[in-house]
This record gives sequence, C-alpha cells and structure tokens, in this order.
Amino acid sequence: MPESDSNEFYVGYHPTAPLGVARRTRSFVIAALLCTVGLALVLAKGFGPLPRATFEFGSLRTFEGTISTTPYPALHVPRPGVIDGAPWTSRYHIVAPFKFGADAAVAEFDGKHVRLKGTLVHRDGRTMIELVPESLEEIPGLALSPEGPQSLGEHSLIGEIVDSKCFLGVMNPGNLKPHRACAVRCISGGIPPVLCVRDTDGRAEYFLLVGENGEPMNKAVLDYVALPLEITGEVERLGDQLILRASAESFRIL
Amino acid sequence: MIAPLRRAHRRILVTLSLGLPLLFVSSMFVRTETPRVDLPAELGLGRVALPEAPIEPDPLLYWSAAPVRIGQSLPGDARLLGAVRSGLWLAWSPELAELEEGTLFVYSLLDQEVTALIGEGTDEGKAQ
Amino acid sequence: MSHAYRAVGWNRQKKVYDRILTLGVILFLGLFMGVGALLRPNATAETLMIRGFGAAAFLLLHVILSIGPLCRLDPRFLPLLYNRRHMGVTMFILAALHGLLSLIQFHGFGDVHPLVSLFTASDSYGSLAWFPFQPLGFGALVILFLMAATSHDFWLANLGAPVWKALHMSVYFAYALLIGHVSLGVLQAETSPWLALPVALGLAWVLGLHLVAAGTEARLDRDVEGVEFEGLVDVCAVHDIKDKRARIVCLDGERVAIFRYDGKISAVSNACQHQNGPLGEGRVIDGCITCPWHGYQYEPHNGSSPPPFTEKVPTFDVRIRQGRVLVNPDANAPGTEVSPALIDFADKGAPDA
Repeated sequence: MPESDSNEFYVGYHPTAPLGVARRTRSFVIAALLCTVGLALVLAKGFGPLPRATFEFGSLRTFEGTISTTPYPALHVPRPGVIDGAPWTSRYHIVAPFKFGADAAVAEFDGKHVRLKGTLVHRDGRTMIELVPESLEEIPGLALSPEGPQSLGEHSLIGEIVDSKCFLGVMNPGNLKPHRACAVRCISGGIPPVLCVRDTDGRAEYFLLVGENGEPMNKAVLDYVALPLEITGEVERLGDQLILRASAESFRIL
Repeated sequence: MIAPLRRAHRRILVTLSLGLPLLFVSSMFVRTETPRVDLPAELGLGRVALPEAPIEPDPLLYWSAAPVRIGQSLPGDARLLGAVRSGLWLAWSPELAELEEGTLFVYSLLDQEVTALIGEGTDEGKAQ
Repeated sequence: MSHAYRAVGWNRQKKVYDRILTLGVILFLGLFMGVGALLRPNATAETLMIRGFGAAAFLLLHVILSIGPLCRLDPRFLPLLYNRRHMGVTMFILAALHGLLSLIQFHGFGDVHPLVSLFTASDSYGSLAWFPFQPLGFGALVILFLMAATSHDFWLANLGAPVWKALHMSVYFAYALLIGHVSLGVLQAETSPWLALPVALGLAWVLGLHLVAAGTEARLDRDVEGVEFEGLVDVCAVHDIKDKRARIVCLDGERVAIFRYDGKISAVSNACQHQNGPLGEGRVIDGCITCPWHGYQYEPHNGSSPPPFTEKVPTFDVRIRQGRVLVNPDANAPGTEVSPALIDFADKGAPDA
C-alpha cells in the first residue's frame, strides 16, 4: 500500500495539486511525451519500404484500341516501330471501379475497336485501366487481332497470389497478410488474380492465373490468396503477359 | 464487498501474464515469407541494365540510329524491342545483339515521350 | 459526485489533463504520419492514417493500463488517474477511426457487405500464422466502444456498480485481443524489429507493472491476526493511527479503513462506492472521509455522502479497549449509523502524530 508519510493529499477538483504530487506527475508526463515522440519516429521508420505503384486517382485519360475478353478483359493498343519478334500490341487489363471486374461492361465489345475513358493504375511496367463504364463506345477503325498464346512448357512456380488492381497501385502495400482480405474481396468481385513471383534479386514477374482450360480463376483461388504457394501448370506467353494455366488442385501451400 | 472483483482481477492478470507473452512469441515464430526463386531460363526473359526501375506507364524499349533526348517524341526510325519492367527484366527481341550503333531508350506509349536513355552505342548497357 | 446530470464536470485539473492529452495525440500523429510520408513517399494517405490512428490508440492504451498499478506503487501519480476516463474515450476515438478506415478500405465497395466480409474474407481460423486478425480488432473495438459509451457516472448509477465494473474490467480482454490483432496482423508482414520490439516492451511494461503492484498489495490482504473479544477483533493500537488518516486492515477477506478524527475512531469499508477507490488512503477533510481517487466524500459515523450526494459505504462497529481498537468483522449495511468510539486520554497511548 502506498503509505505516504507526506501531508500532501491530491484532490482533483481543487485548483492545483500539492507540490510533490505535481512534480512526480510532471516527470511522468515529460517521460511519456518523450516516449511518444521517440515511438512515433521508431514506428515511422519501422514500417518497410514501399515500391513505386501509381493510381492516377482523379485523372482521366482517353484510350483507343481493341477489346478482348479472354482470359480477362483487356484493351489492345498497337505499338509503333514493331520489328519481328517483339510483341506488337500493348495490353492493358481493364477493371471496373472499386472492387469489381469489368467483364459485364465490356462483354458486348469483344473484338471491337473502341474508345473509352479511364484511370491508369501502373507499377513496374504493368499497366491497367480502371474503366468509366458509360464512356465505352465502339468507334470506326481497324480492330486488332492480338497475338495468340505461345506455350512455354510446364513449370512449377513459387509466389504469392495478389489482386492485380490493388497490387499495381490502388493500394500500397497491396499484398501480404494485412491486405489479404481486401485482395479476396477484389478477386471475388472480378479483378484478375495474379501470381507474383520474386527472384533471388527481389525482382518480380507476374503470371496471370487461369484455369486448365483458360477460364477465369477468381473463385477458385480465394482460399490461397497471400499465402506462400507453389503452383504447377503450363506457362504461356500472350504478348508481354505471362500466363499460368493450372487447376487449384496443383496449388501447394508452403 | 469487492473481494470477488479483486479475485477476478487477479485471475485475469495471471491468465494474461501467461497467455499474452506466449501468444506474442508464438506469432513471431510462425511468421513466413514467400521464398524467392530464380525463374526458369526457358521463359525467355532477357535483361538490359537500366538506370532505374520504370515509373512511367507502359514503358517500351526502343532503338534508334539517331541521337535521342529525354522528353522527345518517338523518332521515325525507332524499332521496338520489347517491354520494360523491374528496371532490369525485359521481354526483348532476339535481334538486339545484331543492332548497329545507335541509341537504346525507353519510351512511354501512354505518355508519348522518351523517358530514359540507356546508352549512345551498344557498348554501354549491353544485353546480358 | 454530481447530484444532477452534467456531461463533464469541468475544473482546472481536467482542463490541464485534456490539453496535455491532446498535445500528445497530435504530436504522435503528426510525427508518425509526417515522418512516415517522408521516409515512405509511396505510401498512400489512407495507409498512413490507418497505421497512425491504430498505433496512437494502441500506445494510449498502454498509458491507460499503466495508471492503475502506478498509483498503487506511488500515490503521487494520482492526478493521472483522476481524469483517466477522458484518456479512455480519446483512445476509443482513435481506435474507431482506425477501424472505420480499415473497414472501408479493405472490406468496402466489394461484392459482400463489409461487416460480413470482415469475418469471412480471410477465414483461416485453424492456423496461427494466418488467423484472421481483423475480427480480433473488431472485438476489441466493440469492448472499447461499450466502455467509452458508459464511461460517464450516469451509467455507473444506472447499470449498478457490479455490471459497470465487470464491463470496465473487460479492458483487459480488449488488450489481449489487441495484442493478438497486432501480432497476428501487421507484425506478420512487417518484420523489422523496430516494430516488434516496442510491442514486446509495451506488453512487458504493462504486465510487469501489474505484477509488481500485485506483489506489494499481497501483504495487505492477509487477515489481521487479532485477538477476539466479544465478537470484535483487535486490529491495532489507537496510536497506530495518525489523526485525520486511516489504518487499513483485512478482516474476513475484505479491507476495512479505520479512521481517527476529532478524538474519535470510526470504521468503514475501504472501497469507495464510486469506483472502489481506497478510502483508507484518503484523508478526513472538513469532517468527511475523502477518497484519494476522485475526491468523493463520506461522513465517518454513517458512511454516507453529505447531502445532496447519495453515495453510501458499509460501516463497521468499533470499540476502544485499553488503547486498542476493536472492530466487528461483520459489515453493516451501507449508510448504517454507528457511534464512533471515543478516544480518552488513557487510550491515546503514544502522542498524536
């Protein structure tokens, strides 16, 4: 029991505290404020570095190109100066606002030359468009036939499933456990799931995930999002996009 | 009068003193990290060293025989070699090694401007 | 002490307290988010805010939990306890901002209702590493909300002390949920020791303080081994008690405060009816026992607050015999009038302190 010999007695509704009490409390307050400052700085430093990932929020651009809808909605834009061997269209995945895919919005425009407005999401050379759905319109022009898939054989890849929209820039960080629930929500809503694979130098490559028959995998991958995974399947190249065809049964949690 | 309350308080304290350190230490031990593994060579991903990772949208690697400056539009003789990502990884054309002297540069298709130079000739930033 | 309902009974001490509290919160948020934005320029504003509000609330909870044991160890920390509930409400507001932003950011605008998504999006309830940490945070927030919402004495009076006290003891459950929320959440992805170490130190500080305080309290919880006389227990000598102060003894497992004042001795329960503050560590001021925590007062001879206040504490029968104080261990109902035992010259023994 704090048996104090002092005659000091603190009463909160008196105007001031006795001197000894005031001094002790003041010491605590100063120590606490110093800890507050220290902790703010330590914690600010403690959170890990974040890569550059951009969401051009509030800024709309206009795009023209050809729509394809398999495996996930995309806009193909021709690249100038093409020589043999290099992929000749740029492929921008299209998603709807918030946590939804754009499948419904673009379905009737498959294979057509269109103009649309949208917001760019991009990271590390990968580009995605968040579509303004009502802006999509068919326009006269030559519809492109984008490159067909090129098989690169069966491979086992180790990485983490992320939702492409958040990961490319709408959220930062857009991966790992704290973001898992959001990634599940996005993928469940139609955002294309992607396997993010890192090499020993930390560089990332992204594999669009599709089922064995090339179908979208949104629902099938939900239980595996953010987990360290090994997936075995056929790797395909579709333009500059690498695709991994696998069934969820081949997913192995590490 | 308050003995039951104090007993409850004591029990809570004992439980927390045992349980919380255990929870914290266990959670530190079960932390996992996704392993990093080099990609198979068959995927055909070549490399060109870039000054830094691309930050512009849709960066593409081009070659031009003429000198190029940052900020300009695409030169008429520009030849597309592939897409740029991760500062180093590049999906490239197998003809890169055969190019005569010129300038390798990065061009953003969406921003419609040259954003980075790799070298005046093929000596600098050689393909690996 | 309020007779009529007043939202906050403002006085100078509370204003100073709240000003310092506000300063601390602004300092933390400003530094964390400002320095955070400088060090991590690619972090989005929502990320900085979610992290900032969460960290601020968690830090404040550690301060709040320190106050109780600190005051047991040294009564000079009592000003921190006087207005502690304002700190609690502030902490809840910060936690609610963190929770609301997180709920919108991670679960909103999707194909499922955010509150359903909160519990179902990530449902690896069988794994420790992947245990859904967000429901843990939500559980803690619900507790903190209930505590903040009932923090006013109005609720203490209407819910009754046992219910109110049980509800407010659940702050410990909230703390446990939050240790889980942080350890199984952000600390699974952020591996820097600069994050894990402060959490570990905070946990060690809170538990350590409580254990040290518990150790010092244990001494006083042993029943006094007094001789029995006609049903009364000999608890101490009259001269053991300083004037206007009390001696606390343990009888039948409950602490009793025996006050000496104006040549008299009275005994009341040691627990203040307001928040169970230690009356025996208080003083007699203006003829009333004054609680050291919030200054609630009771008349010593009947354990009742002076009108118009209505608080009452149990009283105990006392006698003085040959300079020794004897107390009946059976408590009287709260507010029962008991004639004080009179100290005559022969009983005084050693001179007054």
